[in-house]
Amino acid sequence: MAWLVVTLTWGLIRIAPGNFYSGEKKLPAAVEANIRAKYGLDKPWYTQYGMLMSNVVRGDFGDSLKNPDYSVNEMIAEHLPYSATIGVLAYILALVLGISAGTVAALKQNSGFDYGSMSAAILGLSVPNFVLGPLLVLVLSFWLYLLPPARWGGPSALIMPVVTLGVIYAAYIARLTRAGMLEILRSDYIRTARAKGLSETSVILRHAMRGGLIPVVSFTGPALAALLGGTVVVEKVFALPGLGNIFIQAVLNRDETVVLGIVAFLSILIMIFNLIVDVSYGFLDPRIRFE
Amino acid sequence: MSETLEPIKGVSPWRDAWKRLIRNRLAVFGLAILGILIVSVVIGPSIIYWTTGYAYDFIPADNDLVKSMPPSFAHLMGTDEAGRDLLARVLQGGRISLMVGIISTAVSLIVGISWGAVAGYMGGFVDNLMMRIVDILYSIPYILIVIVLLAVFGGPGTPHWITWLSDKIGGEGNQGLSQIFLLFFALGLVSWLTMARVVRGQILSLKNQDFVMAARATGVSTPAIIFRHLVPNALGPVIVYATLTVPSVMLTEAFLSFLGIGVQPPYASWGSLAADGIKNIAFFPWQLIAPGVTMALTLFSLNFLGDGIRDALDPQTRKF
Repeated sequence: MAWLVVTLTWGLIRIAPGNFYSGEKKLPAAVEANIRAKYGLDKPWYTQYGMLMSNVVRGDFGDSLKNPDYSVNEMIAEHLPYSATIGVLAYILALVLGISAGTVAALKQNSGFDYGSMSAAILGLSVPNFVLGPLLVLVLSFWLYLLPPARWGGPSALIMPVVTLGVIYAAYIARLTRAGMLEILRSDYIRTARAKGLSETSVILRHAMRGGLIPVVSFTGPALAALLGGTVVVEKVFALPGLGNIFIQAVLNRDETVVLGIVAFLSILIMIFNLIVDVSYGFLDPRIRFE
Repeated sequence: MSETLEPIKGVSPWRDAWKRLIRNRLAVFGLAILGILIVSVVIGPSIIYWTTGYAYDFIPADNDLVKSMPPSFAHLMGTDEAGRDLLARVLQGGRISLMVGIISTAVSLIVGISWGAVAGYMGGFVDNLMMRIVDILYSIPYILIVIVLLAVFGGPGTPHWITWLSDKIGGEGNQGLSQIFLLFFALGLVSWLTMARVVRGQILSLKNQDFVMAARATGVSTPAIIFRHLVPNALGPVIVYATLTVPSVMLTEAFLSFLGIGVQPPYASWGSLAADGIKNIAFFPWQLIAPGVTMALTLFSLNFLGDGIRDALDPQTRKF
């Protein structure tokens, strides 16, 4: 899978006209030939592809083309922590908010809370995060002076990016939880659990949750991929030095090694997460293990 | 007691679904808002032009007016930093945003329906291969691919057939338009995956029914069976999913335009208008609020409508 993504990206970059070194001025032929030789561009495409693949397998993506002082690995290592912090916190926020709202909505189906929280969830899905973020900044920073408007520094600077990023996933998860729980609450084993005389809390937390949350678990894979897109926007809105910002810069500057490096890194990351998700199904729902 | 009994009229499933839909207050609300928005986006720019003379790209000749002005009677949504009327720009941007949403969804419908129907009807090895490809594409961080695709093929790198298409429709050398065309395809091509799965599932449950066997017995060709007999019967879930694809595609378009790789000037979409507005958020907040709230309202209505249509077409889910 990761191989496919890297190949696809490499192919896209390769068939695009122009080169990373072409700029306003035409380079002298000798200089151009030197550059091409240095990066192996004078070799046939299959040799270039082979070089790239051996680099990917060794986990070494070379140096940035635009900032030759940095290697791609250094750049990822430097900027990943910012994105990861926001992403993980946002997903935790989304899980806590989404699962609790979804469960309560399912238990009190067709109540005011149900309609209210599900309408709020659709609202959360509809407000683009690049609108929500700046609006939060406007109200909380410029009007109320509560939180710093942008940049990295201290936990208070984290609140708005995390909320901006997390809201849409909280909305998704709330809807998934509600649908999953409604289905499970009608199943036979919940009736059995109730008939055994278990307390309502234990029925819901120990029996219904495990089955009802399977849609949420399977959402984790796509959510991670989407979270990457979300962090790009949030990092831009709040001027954070994360991986998303670096990626956009690299794409716009045609910094090919950095683009390929980040794409490969993130694909592998997503692949690992999908694997974890697949394995965890078996723990949540014993029936799946036998299929 | 000699009155004649009224013959019982059958209610078609579509009419039945329509009845359920208009009983759903939220869905009707969404439909109404959406109707108003579409009408104002379609005729709004012309009306503003006739009544006030403002067009989306009209920069006042008087230098004192080339500045950000707050909302007033002359400019209901205020102006941007070049003194252009924001209402006209938001409506014009709405044309682009809605167009991207609808056309990209159409592209995803065409690809998704064909792919899913063929896979579902063929079954066996072909089905396995085609659905495995969908599985693989599913796990790709497609947003990264779209960003690279747009950045690489935008500007001078646009493929010839896309420039050709935009030259035919919008006049020669229209760079901004060819970028929009590129968006249609980029977004359509990444959003057909779920559609393919939905259609395949439907086809699988339909293909062993008697009417398919009858069609095959009378010698109908395989493509005709798939597209004339099977696909029309699978339309319900497809409509539901299409209604929910439009807002998600529009969101992606706005996201790309916000990053500066989607819709390019002189054209504007809600995403690029919001991106312009954010620069001045501290001083001229209406420049973000106007396109942002319009967009949120549209997506909100589309999501409600999609949910309503799903409940209407599939009464089973309503019971839960």
